This record gives sequence, C-alpha cells and structure tokens, in this order.
Amino acid sequence: MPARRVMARRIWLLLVALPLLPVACGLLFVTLPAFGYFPALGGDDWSLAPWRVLAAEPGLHSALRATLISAFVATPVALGLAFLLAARIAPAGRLRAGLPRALAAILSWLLATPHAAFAIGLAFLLAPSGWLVRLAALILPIDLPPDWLTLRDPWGLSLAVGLVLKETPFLFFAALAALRQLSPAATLHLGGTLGYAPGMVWLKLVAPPLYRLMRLPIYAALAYSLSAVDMALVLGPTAPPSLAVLALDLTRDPDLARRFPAAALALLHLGLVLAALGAWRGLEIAAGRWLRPVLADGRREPAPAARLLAQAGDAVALLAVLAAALAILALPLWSLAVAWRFPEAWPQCCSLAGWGRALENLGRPLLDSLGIAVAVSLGALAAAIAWLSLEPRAATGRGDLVRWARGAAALPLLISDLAFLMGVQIMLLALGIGGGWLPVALSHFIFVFPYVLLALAGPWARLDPRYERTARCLGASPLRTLLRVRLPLLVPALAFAAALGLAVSLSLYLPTVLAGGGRVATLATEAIALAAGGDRRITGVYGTVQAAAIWLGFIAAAMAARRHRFAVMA
Amino acid sequence: MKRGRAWSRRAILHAATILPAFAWPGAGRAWAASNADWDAVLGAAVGQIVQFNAWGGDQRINDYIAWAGHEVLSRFDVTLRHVKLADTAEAVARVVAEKAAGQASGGSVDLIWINGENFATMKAQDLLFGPFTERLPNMRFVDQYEKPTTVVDFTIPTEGLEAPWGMAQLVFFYDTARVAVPPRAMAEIWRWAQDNPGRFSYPAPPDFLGTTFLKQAFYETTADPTAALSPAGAQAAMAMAPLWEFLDRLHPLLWRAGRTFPKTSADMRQLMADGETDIYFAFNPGDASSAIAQGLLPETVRPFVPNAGSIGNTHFLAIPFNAAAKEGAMVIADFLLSPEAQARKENAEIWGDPTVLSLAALDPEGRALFDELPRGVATPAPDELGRPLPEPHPSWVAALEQGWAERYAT
Repeated sequence: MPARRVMARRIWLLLVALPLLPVACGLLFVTLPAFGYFPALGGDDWSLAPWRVLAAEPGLHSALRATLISAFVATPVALGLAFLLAARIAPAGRLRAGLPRALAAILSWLLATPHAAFAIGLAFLLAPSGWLVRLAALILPIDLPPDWLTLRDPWGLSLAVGLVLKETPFLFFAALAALRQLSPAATLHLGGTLGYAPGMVWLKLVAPPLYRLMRLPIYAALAYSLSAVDMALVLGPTAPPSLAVLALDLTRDPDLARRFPAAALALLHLGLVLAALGAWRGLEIAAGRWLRPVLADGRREPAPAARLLAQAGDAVALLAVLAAALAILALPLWSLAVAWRFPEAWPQCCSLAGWGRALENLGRPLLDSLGIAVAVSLGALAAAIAWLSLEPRAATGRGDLVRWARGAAALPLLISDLAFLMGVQIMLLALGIGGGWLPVALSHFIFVFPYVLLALAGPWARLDPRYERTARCLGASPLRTLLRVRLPLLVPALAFAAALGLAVSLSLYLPTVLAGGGRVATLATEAIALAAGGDRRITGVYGTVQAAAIWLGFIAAAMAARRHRFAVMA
Repeated sequence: MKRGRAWSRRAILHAATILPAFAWPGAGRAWAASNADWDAVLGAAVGQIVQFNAWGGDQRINDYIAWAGHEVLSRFDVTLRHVKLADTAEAVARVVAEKAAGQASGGSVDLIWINGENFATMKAQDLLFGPFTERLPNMRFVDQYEKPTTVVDFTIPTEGLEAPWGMAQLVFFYDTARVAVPPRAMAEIWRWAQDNPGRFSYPAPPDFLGTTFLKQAFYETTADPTAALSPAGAQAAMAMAPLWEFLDRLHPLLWRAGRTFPKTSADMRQLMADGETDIYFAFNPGDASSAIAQGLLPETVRPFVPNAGSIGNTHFLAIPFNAAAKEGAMVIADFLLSPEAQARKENAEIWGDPTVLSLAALDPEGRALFDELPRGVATPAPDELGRPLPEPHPSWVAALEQGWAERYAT
C-alpha cells in the first residue's frame, strides 16, 4: 500500500473515532456516579445506594410505563403510516405530479418543523379547549370545553400522537430514499404481469427488502421516542413525567446528592433503550417467521378485511397529515392574533404586537442558535467530505469496515442521548468547566454529523467516476480534483446536507440544556420555556421563527441546487 | 369553624410580627453605605456582563427584565443577560455544582431571582456573596417595618445576603361570568367543586405556586398552624394528615379528575383563559389585571382572598459567592430597587408586582410615580388583601412536596 494511502486510512480512522470519544467519555462519567463513585460530589466509595434511592423514587414505575407505551405505540404506527404513504404515493420511489407531490410537500414541511415548535402547536390542537374542538364548535353547541384527558395523560398517549406525527415524515422520506436505491419499478411491473394487485406486489415484494434498508432510521425513531425530552415536556405526562424528563428534573435539584440517582436513572434509560432495540429486533424476527407464509401464499388480491384495513389506514394517514399541518399553522396564526378565545374557530386578526414584543428578546437566542447551527453544520460538512474522500473504496474489499464505521457514526442516534449527555455534563463539572457555547457546539456536532454524513454518502457514491478519472488523467492532483471537479458537481447534495445539519442543530434541545449550563439559550430552549403557559402569541413567534429558520435553510438549498443545474447546463 | 380559623390566623400573624426581632441586627439600620463605596462599585461594574438567572415562564416579566436591561446598559454600561429558568433550583444546582468542583470565581451565575427554600439552601451552604444589601443606595427606601418579609425570608433572616425585589401574596381569581359566589376557604372550594366538577386545579408541586397552594391548604386544615413556623419535626406527618384527607376528597373533583395538573401558574392562567377552569390563583395580586390589559384574560375576572388570609412573601435578588460580575449584579439589584423601576414593576399594565418600598420614605417625586399608577380592575385593594400569612419554615416545603409526590404522583 502506498504511503499516501496508509496516511489517508489513518486520518479516516481518526475521523471515525473522533465523535465516538465524547460518547465513550460521557458513558463513563455517567456510570461512575451511578455506582456511587464521584469524589467531587462527596462520593468516595462504590455502592448501590443511588439505585436504592432511585427505586424508592415515587412515580418511577409510572414514568417507565408512560415512556414505554408512548414509544411502542408511536414507532409501529409511524412506520405503518410511512409505508402506507410510500406505497400509495410513491410505490417505486418517484413522486407523481398532483396529489402525491402535494402530500409529499406537506410531509417535507412537517419533517423540517422542529420538534419543540411542532409539539407546542399540537398541544394547542389537541387540548379540549384547542383548535379541533373550536372548529367542532362551529357546528356543535359547545360553549365550555369538555373535561377530556386528551393532553398530558398519565399513559403518554398524547405524547405518542406527537411522536407519530413527527416520525411519520421522517420514516416516509427514509423509505423514499431506500426505494430509489431498490428501484422496484421492474419488480412492480413483473408482479403486475403475474396478476398481483398493485398494493399486493408492493407489500409482498417491495416492503420486505425496503424494511431491511430502513433499519437504521427505524431504530433511530424508536430510540428517539424513548428519549424525547422537548416533546415530552409539552405533550407528556406531568406527575410523574416521562423517564427522560424525570432524569432531567433530578439533575436540576439543588441537592447535589440527587445527581447520583440521576446518573443511575440515565444509565437505566440507556439499558431501556438497548433493551427496547433488542425487543424490536426480536419482534422483527418473530414477524418475519409469521409473515413468510403469508408473503409466499400466492394470493393475488387482498382479502376484503385487508382492503378495509388499507382504506382505514388511508383515512388515518390523511387525517394525520392534515392534523400535523394544522398544528404547524397554529403557531404563525397565534403569533398574529389579537386574542383567540374559546370557542372562536379563528383568532381575532391581526396584530404585529406579539412580534414587536417578542423581537426585543429574540435577537440573542436567534443569533446564538444560528451561529451554533451554521458553525456546526459547516464543520460537519467538512468532516463528512473528509470522511468520504478518505474512506476506503468499495473495490478494496473493505465494505464491512465502511459499513461498521458509518454505523458507529450513527451510534449517538441509536443509544440514549440522555445517558451520555448527562455524563458529558458531569465530566464538565468534574473538570471545573462550566457549560457554554463550545460544549454546546461540540455536543450538537455529535448529532448533526451522522445526518450530514448519511445525506452526503448517497450522492457521493452515485457521482459518475469518469469526471474525476478524466481530471486525474489531465494531471490534476487528488485535492485539486476534489475541489475543482467533485465538490462543484455535488453542490446540490452539499447544500442539502448543510441545510439538514442546520435543521438538526436548530431542533436540538437536550444537548443545549445539558452542555450549555444555562448560559446558552437557543430558540428551541426558549420556545420550551415559554410553552409552559404564558402568552401563546409570544410562543407562536418563537416557534414560527425557529421553524422558519429551518425552512429557509432548505429553500436556500433548493435554490442553490436549481441555480447549479442552470449553471451546469449553461 | 370560622372562629377557629380566625384564631389561627391571628396566631400565625402574631408569630410573624415577632419574627423580625430575631432578624439580622443591621436590618433596621439607616442607609450606611458611603458614596465613595458605591462609586467604586459603579466604576468596577462598567462593561460587566451580568448573567441574571431568573424564572422565565412569564412574558410580561421577561419584558420587564428586558426593559431593565436596556436601562442599566445605557445608564451604567452594565449588560444584563436574562438566563430564563424553568425552575430557580436549576441555577442553585449550578452554583452548588461549581462549588463542589472548586470553582471559587468566574461562576456562571451573577444574579439570581430567589426566595424561600432556594435561599435557605444557598445560605446554609455559604453559597452567597455578601452581606451586600447595605451597600445599595436604594435599600434605605425598603419598608422593613410594614413589610417584615423583606428581611425574613420564609422564617430565615436574610442578613443582607439578598436584596428585596417585590412583594407577593397568594390571591385567587374567578370569572364572574361563570362563578357567582367565589369559595373563600378550602372547605368551600371542596363544596364548590362538588357542584362544578372539573373546573379547578392547581399546579403540580414542586412548582412553587403548587407548593404554595399546599401550604395554604395546610394552614386551613391543620390543627395548629403555628407549628409550621418552626422546623418540621416528628409531628409533621400528623400535622399534615388532615391536608391529605382533604386532597383525597378534592382530587376527583378537579380538572381532569386530578390525573394531570397544570405545570405552572402561567399554565393555570392559560387554562382559565381557554375556559377550561373557572378559578385560578397567582402569587402576584396584579396578575389578572395585567393579563386582562394584555388581552390574555376576559374582562370579567375578579380577585378574592381566602377568609383565613393568604400566604405572602417577598422575592429577592442574591449574588452567588463565585459570581463573575458581582459589582454589575449589585448595580442591577440597586437599579431594580429604585423608585422608578419599582413603580414600573407595580404598574398593572406592565407586571403588577407590588413594591417593597415604603412610600412614606420616598421624596414627593418618587411618591408621585406610585400615585399615578393604574391599579387595574382585578387587583384587590390593600385592605382586601389583608396582612399576609407568613411562609412556613423551609423544611415544610420538602415535607409537603415529598408527601404529595408519594400520594399523587406515582
């Protein structure tokens, strides 16, 4: 192997290890206090005392129950809806014009809406005094809101609804990307000539390999459902809250001795996430066994019951998309409201007073959010470019290594972010470093990088190798080839990856809270702080600005891609 | 029953009036700070950035703090950064953690909005800078005689470690459009809730207002409320038993049958605004007036105070021992005590938080600032408010919150 390639391999391995280092440190520093050892807080001996304290914590069981219910309701339902939508509007991975395009546009808009803002809008939609009941009051005689438990129920069901609506578009677009990779048009055509109804071909021949390609996003969705803090603060149960929120509450207790059971709870949460992923894998195997005879039974037409189920599914999917769109619309509408009292279906419109009042305080969190988001996504983009240029080529027979490395980069999305972030916080504490801008940016990087890497990897691999080969033949150095040929050709993908990084960073809540030490306020943390009541007009402004910053990022990426296309054609 | 309550109220009030006698000996001393000292503070404060850690759940308060930030920047060249907390304990926890990590200077918290249990924690663990209040020029206007809670915080003497900022008293509000006669005692609330199930709730403790509701209900149900003025001891469980009995009966009649609770006072006000409940309460007598002024509540909302009187206290500003900008923090604390800032704060259209100052101590110009204030349609007059019931000893907070969590948050 030439020396240069050895060097490249070493740098690449370093890149692979770099994001894993804080994760490993975080897990170490959460494990120590969980077993009583943390001298800075007066814990000099190993013991199981933190676990005993934790076990005696009132509400632990209910918190665990609500967390498990919300995650194990949300993930399968979201997956089912995503598959249904994919099968209906893009069976072969391409969107037809008309309704499918429009639906996909709404879904992409939903995907781009940050969790905090979305949860706030949804809470207003679902509450018994919320928008849905207000709309119903147009035709029904309702003058007082009904006393229904539709929000923050102790079982975590309203949280599950929020998670479903937020994860469905995520899994839908993951399915779309995977479908393009599968290119099932020929399969669908073949199935059709064998007399299978279109839905049946898709279900029997496309869905199984599609699922296999989508494991990573599905597992990430499950892990997220178990760990969500921002959505749980708005939609989850209150007394006791979900497990992740309970752990966060414990770290905020002025009695530092509570950090020990908090660390134990974070570790328990990690165990829970791993166990849940294991259980999911078990369910996969069981479902595979059970479904194999069904897939191979040769039935061409769906059973009447299945047809009915599919129609019900269509209705649910449409309603879900509609509800999500309403939830997102609620925020800008509130930001412009003079007042909006029950049971009015529409706000008394319009006033910019809310914007005027909010803008006085909005500047700093906006600048901090954007500063962190831009720095982190550009950093992640540079790291991803370096990673992909140095990655061993598929031809070198290192495919497994590459796959494992990419899996490792996605690790932070698959395990309990709570556990290692709390460890990072404890580590900062042990080192005597307060939280701040830099720890926040670094912790954002851990979450932004895998998204940017995965978004870039596809287009990177698809680029026709002959461009670069030509450049090299003309004598250009590898670096020059990268800078002058590959990157310019990949501008659309680069712009999209950067916008995605921006979106992820602007949505993050827990890393900012735990690594920021209260010194860094972003739009996400401000929106959640304001959501605890106060003034919906102001919360509406924060949510709208947070969402708009992300939407603008994607719009700018789309424009860059379009200009690029014209430039290439010219 | 009513006479018994009246007796209790007198007993608590009496105990409260003798408390200041145990207070810090310097509490009543006239303003002793020298101009030279204050000039030095002002000089050192120039250019400092003050991380003001204050609960951020109410936009009106956030707006007021933002206004104060503009003023101190233009007048004293001190930058105020409002770190919005969901719970003050977060900031206390951070200072505790910094001390544990040996960070004796350059801490992340410069000024903290605080009282009660959090102050007791910080004072007991030597986490506070000071005494510093004597150095603040505007401290001499504070009404320490009529407002004894400005120097005794939840039975703990402040000893100059925190500067008073505002007065608070538990006040209930009801919508006259839906409630004819408001229930002015816990027992009446229960009776009212039987006729109007699902129309009342309270924030889940440990939210401070939820805990205050527990204390108020505790005072009104326990046999001897004066016990609450000394630390909760072995008798605490017995003293709290009638409270849990009362809540056991009340909860099924609450909003959502007590299966979920609002999170904060602002959340509870939102429920009232949405028509989900008919009664809410706040720690700020002007809460409903300013909410009406801002279009957050219907204009039919009016206040009422429990017959037994209601819990009142003072909220303060304190500076952690390791604050990075102590001088800047003092300048801000002093500015917030100025007649101008205090009058603006009391304005029902802005915040509606009562002043800690003695109007008699002010010069005519200062007094005029307060005379012109609109009181607001839903703010109780001072005689309606009555003299506040004192806060119980902080140890009761833990006892009440723990007892509540074990019973209702499992």
